[in-house]
Amino acid sequence: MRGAINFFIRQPALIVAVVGIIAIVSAWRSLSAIDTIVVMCTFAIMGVSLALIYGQAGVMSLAQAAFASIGAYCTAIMTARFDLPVLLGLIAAILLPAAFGLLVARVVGRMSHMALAVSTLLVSQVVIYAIASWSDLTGGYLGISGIPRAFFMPDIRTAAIIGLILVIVCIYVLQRVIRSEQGRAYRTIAADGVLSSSLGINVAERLGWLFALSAGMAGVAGWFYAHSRSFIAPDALTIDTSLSVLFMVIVGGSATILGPVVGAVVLTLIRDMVPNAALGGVFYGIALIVVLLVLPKGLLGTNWLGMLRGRRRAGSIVDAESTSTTEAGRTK
Amino acid sequence: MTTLIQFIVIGISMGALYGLMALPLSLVWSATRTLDFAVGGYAVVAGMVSARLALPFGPIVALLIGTAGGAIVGAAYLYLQSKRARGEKNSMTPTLVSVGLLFALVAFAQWQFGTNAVFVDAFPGVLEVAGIRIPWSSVVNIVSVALIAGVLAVFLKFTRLGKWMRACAGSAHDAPLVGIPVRSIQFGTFMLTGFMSALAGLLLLSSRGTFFGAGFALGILGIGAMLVFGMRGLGTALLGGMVLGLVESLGTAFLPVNVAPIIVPVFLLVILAIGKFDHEAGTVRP
Repeated sequence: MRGAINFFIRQPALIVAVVGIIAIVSAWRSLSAIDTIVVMCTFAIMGVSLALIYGQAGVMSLAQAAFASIGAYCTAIMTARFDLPVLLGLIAAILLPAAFGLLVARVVGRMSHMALAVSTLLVSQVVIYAIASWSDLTGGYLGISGIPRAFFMPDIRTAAIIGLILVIVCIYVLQRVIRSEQGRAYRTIAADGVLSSSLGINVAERLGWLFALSAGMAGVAGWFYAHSRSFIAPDALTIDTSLSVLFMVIVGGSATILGPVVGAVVLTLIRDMVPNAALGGVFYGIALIVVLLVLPKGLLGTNWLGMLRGRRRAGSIVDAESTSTTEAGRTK
Repeated sequence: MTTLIQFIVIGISMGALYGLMALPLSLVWSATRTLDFAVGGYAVVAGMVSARLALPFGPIVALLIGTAGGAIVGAAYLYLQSKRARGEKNSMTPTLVSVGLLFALVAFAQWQFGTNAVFVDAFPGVLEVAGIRIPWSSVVNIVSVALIAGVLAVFLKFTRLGKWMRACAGSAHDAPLVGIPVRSIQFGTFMLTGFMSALAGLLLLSSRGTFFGAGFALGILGIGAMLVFGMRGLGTALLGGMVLGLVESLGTAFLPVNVAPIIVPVFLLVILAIGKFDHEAGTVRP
């Protein structure tokens, strides 16, 4: 029994599968709840894509929404404009953002962390504006509507199931990367780029491929968004979305496997509970600040037991001191 | 020719505001190796609050809000530095706190003031010189920023507090050795960032107007102004702002309408790719 529990705990994809199935079954009769699950899945996939690059290699990319946007528009144009199969759209939604991510990595990979973060923000601006301006292809600010649903995703309920499957696949990919030799190399790069290079790690190449993988995964989120909503517009996946995804990853725990998913669930629930969308943004920002100050490793990255033991030990030290003082007083 | 000169003057006028945000940012970066991304948020909220409240309370409250915003980031920075002293690694965390604050400020502006742009025509009319028509708001921007930069330069060069700030910017590690209260100076520098960004927001209100969504763009422009010539000093920060303003203005005037809006981000990307910003040792080049 204990072995089974230990096995289960070490399989994050399995945990997500079980919890996800329970959530979908519980919400089956409520379309709004199912819609929330679909949104959570979209953000979770983008969160996992960011966790790959930020949590492992320490590279803060603020362009995940731009990569997702490229994937979404890619599949929207292929399926809605040219009547190509949805699965072909998925392949393109992975490959095109991945190729773009590789190109971006070649430009920004040599920069310091701060410059890289600013650069990805600028790339995001350029991509989103370019998409909005290329109206002949992308529909401009009106976007593309009537994106066909996949045959395996005819309605919002099946979309939630497909979303969960995609999240599980992405978690599995993240898990494989983390537990591999590649993952160790990325964490070494995050710790010290020069040391990594001296150990024979080709930093630029590794970061390039990781960027491409992260961008491709974000493209999957874009594909899912486009086909679950049947609509995509430039203001659907913006810099705000990139920042929201960053917040989710940090709140959940950037260095953990399930952190991005937990962050996506928690912040989506907060957003849904707050009546006003703008007020929700205020709560997002405050939540990020509080987590950064109090739980910098996020909800799942924090050693809760250690924190509690630390407080108990501090309490017992205080008690011991007051006891010894009392005893010293009695002795005198 | 007169059109070109008009656009140059407008570009310098807007660039002066970006430089105004970049001035304290470069001080903060030098002293703390932290970027305060929330500068755009301070400017937007300050502008919108000032427009909502009657004189003289509007500008006063606006400046207080900006200063308070800088104080929040400063306090977070100092708290995180004390944790870092105990071995916890968090070099990007203060910057992320400022990102969270920016997000909250922009959302607050949208929640409280709506999505409409706000503009206060405090300096109507144009100044005509040799056939060149320069809006009075542009003149006010340039003169105001020149005065503020002058006062800041005098403050930094001739006052004790200013010299302490320069010492912290030079080496925050060594400054305590000569008795400089580095933590207080760093905190004050963050507050100065908030104050000056709020000032930029007030000037922006009467030049181009402001709206909630401008927070992110202004933040990028303020940081971009600092990056153009690298963090070499106040002069380069101001000059960087002017260059950005010129690029923006001349791009709007002479480039196709669907290219002009992205000229500034592309320009900044090129600057960053060249590597002028790269002050961290150990960055590996592919």
